[in-house]
Amino acid sequence: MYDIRNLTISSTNPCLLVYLIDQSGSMSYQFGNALHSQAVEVANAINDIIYEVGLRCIGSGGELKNRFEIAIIGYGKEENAVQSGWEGQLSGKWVVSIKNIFEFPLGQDNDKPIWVKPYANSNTPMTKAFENAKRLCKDWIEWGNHRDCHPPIIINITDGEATDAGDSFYVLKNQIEQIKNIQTNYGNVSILNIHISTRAGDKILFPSEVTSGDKFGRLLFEMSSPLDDNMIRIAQQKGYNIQNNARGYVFNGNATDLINFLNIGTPQ
Amino acid sequence: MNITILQLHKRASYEFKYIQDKYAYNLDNKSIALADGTTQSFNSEIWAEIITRQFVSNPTFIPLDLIDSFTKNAEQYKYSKFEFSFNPAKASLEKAKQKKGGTATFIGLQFAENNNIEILSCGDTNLFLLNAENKITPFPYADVNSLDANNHFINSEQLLQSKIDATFFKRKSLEHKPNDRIIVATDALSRLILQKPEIIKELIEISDFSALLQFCIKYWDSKELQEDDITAIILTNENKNIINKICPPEDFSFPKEKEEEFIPTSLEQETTESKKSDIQMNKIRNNFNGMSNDLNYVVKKLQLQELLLMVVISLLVGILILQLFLRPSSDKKDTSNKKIKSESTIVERYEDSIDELKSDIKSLKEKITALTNSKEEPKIEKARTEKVIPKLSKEDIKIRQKELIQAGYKTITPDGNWGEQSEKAWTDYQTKKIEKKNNEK
Repeated sequence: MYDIRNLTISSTNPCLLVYLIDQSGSMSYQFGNALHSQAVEVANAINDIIYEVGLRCIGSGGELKNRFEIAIIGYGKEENAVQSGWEGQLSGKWVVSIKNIFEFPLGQDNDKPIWVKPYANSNTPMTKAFENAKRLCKDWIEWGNHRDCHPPIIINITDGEATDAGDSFYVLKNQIEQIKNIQTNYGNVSILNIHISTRAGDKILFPSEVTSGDKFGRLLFEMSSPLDDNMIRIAQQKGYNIQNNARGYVFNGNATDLINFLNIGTPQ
Repeated sequence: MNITILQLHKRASYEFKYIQDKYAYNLDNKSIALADGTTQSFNSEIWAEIITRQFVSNPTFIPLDLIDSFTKNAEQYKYSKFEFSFNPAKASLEKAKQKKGGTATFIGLQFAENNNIEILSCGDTNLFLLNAENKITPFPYADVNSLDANNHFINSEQLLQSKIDATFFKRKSLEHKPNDRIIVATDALSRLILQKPEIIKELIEISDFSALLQFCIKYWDSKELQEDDITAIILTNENKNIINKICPPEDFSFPKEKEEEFIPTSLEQETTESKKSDIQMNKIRNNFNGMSNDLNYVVKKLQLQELLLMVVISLLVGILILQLFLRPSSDKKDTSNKKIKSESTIVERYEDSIDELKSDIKSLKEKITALTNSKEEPKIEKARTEKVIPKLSKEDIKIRQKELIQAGYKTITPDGNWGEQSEKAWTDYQTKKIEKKNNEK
């Protein structure tokens, strides 16, 4: 009855996107071969993705349809702290509709609005961030008709080294499992991880396994949800060579990969 | 040609004017076209309308010819004027969308000779041929998976960049019988028909808008039909031309959903705890603010008093300055004092001299009076004697006459008579007597 292929994300059936942004001190390191830091890369990616979501929501009459609601959760800006990543007039809000997002940008950069600024300050309380995302998703699903909506998608952007994951990452893994069990009538919450690094030249997109790299990379891959048939179909349409057991994990992807990642994760 | 057009916009669009499915037909050449403008592209409904009209005006089933004619339309579409939003963030989106061009699916068909239908398709808008035996022949997609796998659309920018070729199109000639029905449907309805072919009977029996609305809502609510614009064109090849349009009346619209802001209660609770300290901090801040306001008030008042004091002082200083300017200088003062002193001594002297003079005058006056008295008295006596001679007794007359004779008055005789002669002598005698006394003093 609830076939996700029959679901159109619309203002009557919106989709929640939750972005977890690593703002720890290590994000100040250079991103791959780029001249800028990982924190700048993440801020650029988030701003580009929000803009891309806006493109999917603007109608012919200039009206923005509330097809998406977006949460930005920052972690590591202060020690062991998690807070809303919205700034300016949206400061303190957890979830903002796309309509309001475009009413209150922080400013413009190259004729494009921006909402998020780069930060690289303290440690990496990633578990706490996922715990907040879990509660946010649960509350959102219980709200109004959201059970009949596309399941929320959590996109975590990090350099990977959680400081509150516990022994053998047990605490973090436990949170992830709890999140993956949260569901709407159209399926379970998805977790996608975008792993950015100082290493250059080894981009990995939606792999079916990760054998190389460090333990944090492998952890993020294991945390990522498997792409469902619909996602695989869209990814293949976008030109990605995707295997059936691919997971929502990207290592050192660029902004275009991140936007395609969004398009893969959410039906058109 | 008998054409029945069923159309309903998606609930999220609210009004029929926002429907992005567009169709066109030409009764003369028995052609019809349907295009589904994609939500993500710029003014896609306009682009969908342009390409369907272009097709029915000159139907062609050679993909390259169609691409050529659509490319000309793409240029016209690209340079059409558009008013961007005032909100810079939204305007930025519109400009970005404009650069990406208009995108639509397309299907065009024409009733040809020998009971054939020529069909050319690009995208997931599907055709179903329903024969008398209720057998359905779909084209181009026979199942949902292949329909969903479609990745071809007609995009105006891609046309201009020659990125669309013949492989984007699927062409077919279908043989049909006089009573066969041809149903062309956009993707949401096509998906439903492919999943549940029996609904096609229900669809072709729809004869008015309320039946169409009921049909759509029933399948939308059961989640079997995607919440999208719905268009079905039902055709039969007849000699008579009958057009039946079933679409929402002008006053119809779907209700707008309430815009309620989602607030995550569990996260808000946590922030409320931190807000408790915020509230306390606010109280402290408010107290501080109150104190600072009071302080400001006092300072302002003091400033006012200070200002008034300054004004008073400046006024006093002004007055003093004026006095200094108006009063003589200190040197002048000294000289004036000296002058006063000298003047006062002079005055004193003068006063002394005046006093002396006064006393002189007085004495002189007295002398004068004395003199004048002595001279004037005889006249008075004379006058008196002339007028009145006092009546004296004989004894007094004898005493006076005796005294006068002793004094040397020879004219006087002791006869006892007191006449005018006697009175004169007597007055003279008295005056001399006074003068003699004064001189003695």
